[in-house]
Amino acid sequence: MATRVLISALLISSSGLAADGKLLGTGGFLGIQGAAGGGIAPWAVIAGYGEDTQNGAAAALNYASVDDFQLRNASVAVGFRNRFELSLAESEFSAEDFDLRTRRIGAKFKVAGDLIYGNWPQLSIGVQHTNNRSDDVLRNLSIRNHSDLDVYLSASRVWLDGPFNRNFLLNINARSTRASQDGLLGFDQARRWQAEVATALFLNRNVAIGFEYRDKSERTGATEDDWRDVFIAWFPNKRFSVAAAWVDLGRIGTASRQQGIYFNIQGSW
Amino acid sequence: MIKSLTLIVALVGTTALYAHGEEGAHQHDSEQTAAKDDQLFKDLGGEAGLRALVKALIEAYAKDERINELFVNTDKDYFGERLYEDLCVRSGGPCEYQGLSMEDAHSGMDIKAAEFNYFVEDTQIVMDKLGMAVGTQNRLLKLLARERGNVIRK
Repeated sequence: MATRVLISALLISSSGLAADGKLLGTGGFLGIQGAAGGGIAPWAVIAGYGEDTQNGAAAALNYASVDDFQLRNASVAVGFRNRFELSLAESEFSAEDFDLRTRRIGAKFKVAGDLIYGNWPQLSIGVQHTNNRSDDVLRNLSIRNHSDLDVYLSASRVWLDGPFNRNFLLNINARSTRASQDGLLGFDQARRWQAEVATALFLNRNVAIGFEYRDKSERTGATEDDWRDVFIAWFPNKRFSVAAAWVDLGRIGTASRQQGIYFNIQGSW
Repeated sequence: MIKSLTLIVALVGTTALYAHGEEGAHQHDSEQTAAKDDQLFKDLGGEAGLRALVKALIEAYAKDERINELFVNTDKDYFGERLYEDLCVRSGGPCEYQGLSMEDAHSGMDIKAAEFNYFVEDTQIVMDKLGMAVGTQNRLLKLLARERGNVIRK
């Protein structure tokens, strides 16, 4: 799974991409959903280091290990002219006696503003189609809808010389979704709005710390715990980055509160 | 949703207040491109420090293959004097800028967004090499960033 995704990324990147026009650390991460941004939710940023005269690509591996589950993910994304992004994410969520696999295809379009410069924050619209491919497992759990579409609006902004004279990022999303546990447990009938927030403080050009919060409430007839993490990220250059987080996924299914570690390792072209 | 909205409002409110407090009355960032006092000028090393910075910056820009073509028609000495005056004024120092407006100075060069960022990064790397504190670097970059709209794509 991961190999196929990464080979695709290499093929795409070999077709003449030369992306280094963004400042270090401003291409975001490819999180578990594949789109550029944070680890557990996307941001308004477009993937890769390409600015508006360039195309860029990124590929990442995500790994999380919480009390009773592991999540493995491979994601690849391409950013065109710092305006449009396509992403693909393959995830495998493993419990002791079953696996759940999802494939996500995403598209994101920057509609206004800029992450750092000018008077308006960067505003993007994203869509994400999730296909949960573990049909047998979901059927056994009497879950009928195995694929669906999320739509989200993102606003991201970096303030230069912010708190402690450090550069500071804030991202806010509003997401329309029917997903049950991010699509791992299929999809509900009713669509709802959820909010996602991320912040990052760049201690210097190469290191950022932050936290993310994903509101997952408002499901009718079922409760879902919010997801949150605190992370540290290292960007030594524009080719490679790595991040580690402590993640809290709350209760999943009947399992008690799931907490643990999360890693992201990423390459960019 | 209420819980998240509260959190968002708190974060945005805190951030907006913070930014507002730092900048005083100005919310239209493009208008204020100079420091309110001379603290940044002092933190950049005053006249000696800033002259050393400018000298190092010009060398760095000349070595950067991605942007040095933009300088083919530029008199390096003239550019160095104007850059010194510009950074001096921006950081609150006792100088007078005698050059063209940013827009006139960059007119016809069609500087790309990527190229502007290459300048920013070269500047950051030079400031790192000169041992300037991260906070000092960010304070200068914030003032420079406000000029971007007058510099790119002209």
